[in-house]
Amino acid sequence: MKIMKKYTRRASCNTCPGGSGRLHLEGVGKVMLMSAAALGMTAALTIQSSMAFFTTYVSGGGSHPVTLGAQTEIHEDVSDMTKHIVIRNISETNGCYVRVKAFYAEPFEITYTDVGGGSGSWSLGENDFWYYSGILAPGETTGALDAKIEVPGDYDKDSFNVVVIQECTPVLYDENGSPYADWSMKYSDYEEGAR
Amino acid sequence: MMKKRNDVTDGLLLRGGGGIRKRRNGITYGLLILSGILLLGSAVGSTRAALTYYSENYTAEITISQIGVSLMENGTVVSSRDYDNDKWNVSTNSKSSTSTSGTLLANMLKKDEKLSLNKKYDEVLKVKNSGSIDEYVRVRIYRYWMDENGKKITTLTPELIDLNLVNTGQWVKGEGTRECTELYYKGILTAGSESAAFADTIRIDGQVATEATVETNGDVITTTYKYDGAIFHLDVEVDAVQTHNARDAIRSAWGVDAAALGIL
Repeated sequence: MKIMKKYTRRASCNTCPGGSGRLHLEGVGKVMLMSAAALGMTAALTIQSSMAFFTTYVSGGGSHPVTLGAQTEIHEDVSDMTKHIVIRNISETNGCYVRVKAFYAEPFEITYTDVGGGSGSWSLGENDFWYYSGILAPGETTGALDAKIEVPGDYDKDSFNVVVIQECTPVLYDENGSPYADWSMKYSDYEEGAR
Repeated sequence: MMKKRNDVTDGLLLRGGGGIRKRRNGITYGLLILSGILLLGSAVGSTRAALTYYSENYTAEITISQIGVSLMENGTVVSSRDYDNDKWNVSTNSKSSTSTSGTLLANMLKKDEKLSLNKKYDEVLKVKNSGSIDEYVRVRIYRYWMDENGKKITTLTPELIDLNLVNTGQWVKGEGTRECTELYYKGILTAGSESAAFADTIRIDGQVATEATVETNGDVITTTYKYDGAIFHLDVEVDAVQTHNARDAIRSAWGVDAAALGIL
């Protein structure tokens, strides 16, 4: 009978909610506890590794804008078969170098004269361009370069065609900090907004 | 009597089922204990290794613990971060009190001076060991372009921001990208000393003026440049690490083999 009671009690325990269920939960708790302990140890090892060495760091940064862009305007007042050429830098921010060249057909001839009036002077240079010395600052106007057109007597003085072109290039600097113009610079067009 | 027999039968059945469960529980707990022992064993092994491994560092911490480093520009400290009296002392030349990063290029241009293409501006950059222990150092230099809204322009060329690197025998190049140059100082930077400069000048290459559109409108010629309005940036990061267990410390901190780089 005692044996039967024992087994009967065990059976009832196995079916009640607080019986084998509690035992099972206790088992799971142990597993979780051990797992947590193992995880904690592993984590502790990781922390030790990351704190193992003395390190430090610093940083610094700086920036500046690059302002480029040029806008030049040529004026050619004509009087007595002479073009009075002046160039004005209408950019508000950037200085530049300028040069001019006249194109015409034979039998016309042109005689140039540096009239002066500006901070620099005109001189004939490479590729038959007339170069203005010095940097043309924003808002500044060059001195006048007179181009006197010699027309043969039998030509109609109202039908000749002399075209003056102007060019500008940005101010560059050499290793010593001296400004110069690089007229050999070749522009490659870009699509606006592509950047 | 029949009821009793049934009870007995149930009891026997229950005893039989309980025995199987008991065996299963035994196996489960046995496996659990075994796995726990294995896990503990491996953990203890690691801990032993870690203790042995870190014990030297612990000694180092007691005797020499004040690591520090400073970034210098043209002879002036830009920013520093030194460990002293159980806290980090951070100082910068930045006007912002909360910034942990110093300001470079602040004195590159004089008042009202405009940036000139190709012109070389002084930009002598060094590292100073401002701590009390020796250290290894490396620098990372970032060059890039941004627009006025603070957005990076990836189509502009970083190489046109020409930071002239010097003392290349002392500063060993690591892996880098077009934007980032990594330099490792060869040898130990002793406490309180300054490194050789790793850069001496900066210039914006005149090539930025070669990409432009020229538009003629009557007597007016307008030249518009691709780089007009772009803002060039120079950022420098300096990292320092202890000299004890240098190879492992450098591998841990920087992820490189210092011996292979030849900086030890």
